[in-house]
Amino acid sequence: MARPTNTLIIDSVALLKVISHCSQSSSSSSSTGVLLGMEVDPNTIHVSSSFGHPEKRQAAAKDDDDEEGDGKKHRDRRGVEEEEAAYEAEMLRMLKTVNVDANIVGCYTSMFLGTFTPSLLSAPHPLVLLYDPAQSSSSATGNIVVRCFKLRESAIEGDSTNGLYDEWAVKVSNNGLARSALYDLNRANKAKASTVLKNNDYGKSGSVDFERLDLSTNPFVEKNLSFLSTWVDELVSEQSKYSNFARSLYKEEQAGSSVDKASRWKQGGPSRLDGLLAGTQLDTYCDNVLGHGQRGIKKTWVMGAVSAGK
Amino acid sequence: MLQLSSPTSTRTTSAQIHPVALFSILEAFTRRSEGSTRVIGTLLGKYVDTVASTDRSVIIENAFAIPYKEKDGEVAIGKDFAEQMYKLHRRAHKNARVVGWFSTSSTGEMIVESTATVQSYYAEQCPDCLHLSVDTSLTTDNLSLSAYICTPLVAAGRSLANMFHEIKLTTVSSDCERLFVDSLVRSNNVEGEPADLANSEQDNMSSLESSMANLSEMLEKASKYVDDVVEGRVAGDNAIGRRIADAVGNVPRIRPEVFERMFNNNLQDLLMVMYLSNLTKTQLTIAEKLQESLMV
Repeated sequence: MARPTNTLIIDSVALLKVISHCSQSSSSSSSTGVLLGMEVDPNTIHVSSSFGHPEKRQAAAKDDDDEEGDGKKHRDRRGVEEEEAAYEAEMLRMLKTVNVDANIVGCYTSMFLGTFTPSLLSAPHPLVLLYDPAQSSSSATGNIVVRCFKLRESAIEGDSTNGLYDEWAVKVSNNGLARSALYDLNRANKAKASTVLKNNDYGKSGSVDFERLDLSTNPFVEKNLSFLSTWVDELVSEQSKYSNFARSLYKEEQAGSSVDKASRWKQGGPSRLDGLLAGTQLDTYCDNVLGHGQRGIKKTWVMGAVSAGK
Repeated sequence: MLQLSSPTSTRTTSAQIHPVALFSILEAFTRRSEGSTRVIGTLLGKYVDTVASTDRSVIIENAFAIPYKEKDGEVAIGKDFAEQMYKLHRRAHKNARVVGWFSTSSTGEMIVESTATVQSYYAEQCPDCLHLSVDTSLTTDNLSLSAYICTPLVAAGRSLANMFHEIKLTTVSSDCERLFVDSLVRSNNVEGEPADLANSEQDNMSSLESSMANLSEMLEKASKYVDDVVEGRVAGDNAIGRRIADAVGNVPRIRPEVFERMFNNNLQDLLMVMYLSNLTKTQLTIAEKLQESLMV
């Protein structure tokens, strides 16, 4: 993918809040929230703060009668939207009194290993920040996984030829005090063994270096592989649809009637979209596993060297 | 006769703070209204029992600022705001409770007269609440944080004064937070430039490499120290020696063949998984090509 030209500059406070809020999400429930800040110029948006939406109520139990079930879901969804809108308005009002930028520029939501369900928000914001807590652990990738996308102007008008979303680069900025706090944290990490800073012991929050060298591979790989197999099933079903359609066409041809193939495919052919989606998703999971495997091999060799040296 | 009220319930003896809370406090200070020199706010978090059953530790997970005005020694805080904000917060984070309050100090003095007033307000909200003071004057060598627990001094049935005594404060964070702070620290060199978040595969590898470089550097330092002590160049410190011995002792002693087998197994597992995923990818490309040709 081409290097994104637009930039989202986010304050470390805002991103830390997003991280801590999303840490309570899981594969079944996702955390969402709102980003506050201002637009510096059409290509740059500065996010200075964020807050999370309240936890959603459990989805209504499945009803036997489909129509009623649909209606209920609809009513539930509208209820949730209204609740969120009220919450947002209330929060904005309060934050204005403490001088926080009360201007919504986008929303954030949590992913699980690269997949997420875009929940219907009260006011769909064009800018969305995605954060993946499962992939951001030190044993998985060793880095925070954060992506940012903005809906294109053309997509809003309904024209989706050039693609729906633009990816934006994410940069983190700190104010002066935050930088000094970081400096302190860093110094404490380096001097952990000997000195004790005045009343503060930045003990466990220190360096992640050694956790990154952890050899445990199973949870991450297992999850990826289980997702992989689910998607493979879907892909297989898509492909069988194609082959059935092709077979029926062939049978008709055999039966003697002349068939104009191109137009038949256009009319009755199964949509390619789902198959394409399944394929790309599988690709991503494979990439994840590959990356993880490479890192694991390096770590294993290091372990071998350490024990050999002993 | 002075009498320190000793509660029979558990006392808070130590506190742990998440980076989120710390950075929120600093942010609130940066955004303070014109003319005011301090910021005051609520701390949210939870309690955790420590090893000794009568003690407990406070974990500060979040913080928000409240409107605060100080004039000629009189203090006004936005109580309604604090309550409302707390309610809103609870809806988003179910387990948050008020555990204390914070204030920033730009003069270097941690406790001032107004502290007691604010403390009494917060004491109503939670038992044994914590007062966190952040020094933002930047005159000392580091950004010092201090946590205090308040004990009222009672004489003959009337409360005389409040005694604040300091408790141990450490920083603690979850896995992801630590990763993030670590990446911030590493990219903290350039002034004013926003730092790029490392996302590509190459950056993942480079962070792994830096971890390994760090590890080897530490091993070298340790072995050099041991050599120096053995040859008499440096006076040996018993404590350090014992810790090095512990560290080395932690490496499990496994017989070479067993280790070989483990090593090879691990390697083979990884290679197999990688091979399978490569195979899947190739399969996908072939399938796509076939489908395209089918359409024609």
